[in-house]
Amino acid sequence: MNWKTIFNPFEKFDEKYLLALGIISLIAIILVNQWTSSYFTSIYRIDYMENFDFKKATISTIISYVSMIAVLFVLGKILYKKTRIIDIINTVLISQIPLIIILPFQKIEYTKIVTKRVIAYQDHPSGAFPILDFIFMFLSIAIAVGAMIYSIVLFYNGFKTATNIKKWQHVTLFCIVTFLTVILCQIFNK
Amino acid sequence: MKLPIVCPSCDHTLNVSQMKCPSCATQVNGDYELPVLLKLSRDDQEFVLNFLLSSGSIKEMAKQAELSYPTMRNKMDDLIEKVKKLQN
Repeated sequence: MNWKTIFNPFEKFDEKYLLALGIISLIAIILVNQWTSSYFTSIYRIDYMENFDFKKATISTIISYVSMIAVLFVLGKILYKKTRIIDIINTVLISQIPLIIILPFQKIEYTKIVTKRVIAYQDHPSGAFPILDFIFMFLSIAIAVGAMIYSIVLFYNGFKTATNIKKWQHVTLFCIVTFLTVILCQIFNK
Repeated sequence: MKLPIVCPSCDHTLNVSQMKCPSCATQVNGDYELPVLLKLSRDDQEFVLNFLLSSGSIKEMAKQAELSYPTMRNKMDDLIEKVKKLQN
């Protein structure tokens, strides 16, 4: 497996294999949601519930996925009539896999302690500089940002492979439609 | 020996000016345009040949090339666009 395959698995792997992996990842996300009391209000927004409701969280997560799949499929059909629903489903499902590692961040007790200590030091900088806490925080943020960027790269490459878009106008339209869908989904999926 | 299809000086598609019978050495001179498929790059010609050999199945081609179906279909669509441009 080379870098090209890592950033665009849609170019190489069979759609049935990707779909199976995507469904497994969705189940994993739902289970991790339950463990971390989290849920998706859009494919790029994770919220946390105090009193976790499994049914509500799962429905919200699935609505996030389905709404994005529906919108992208319509857009794909407009831009390229040979667009297949399975390729769009795979795009959305596979692109969410890297986000699984972000979900437990809030759950790890050490993260809360470190955050409190760093904020406390910033407010009243006295005593030794908590270098380990800053390193831990920096690494956590780097991992979260890295996972988010990787997810967006997968999302873009998946749609590009599914629809064969090349023109910058089409890419811009894809970005605008995705952004609007994410925002609208977050508003209506609260 | 590879058949050159593009002018090394200006990149324009070359025409055929001479053909020779390998059996009796008869030579034909003229200014003949290459057929559309011969104007394609070597890789594209190979793609067309593979398409023919796999009975026109993009799925089969994708399997042989160890690529996904949409990737192969996109390659085919790009090639169709190229051929359309060459025809005009």
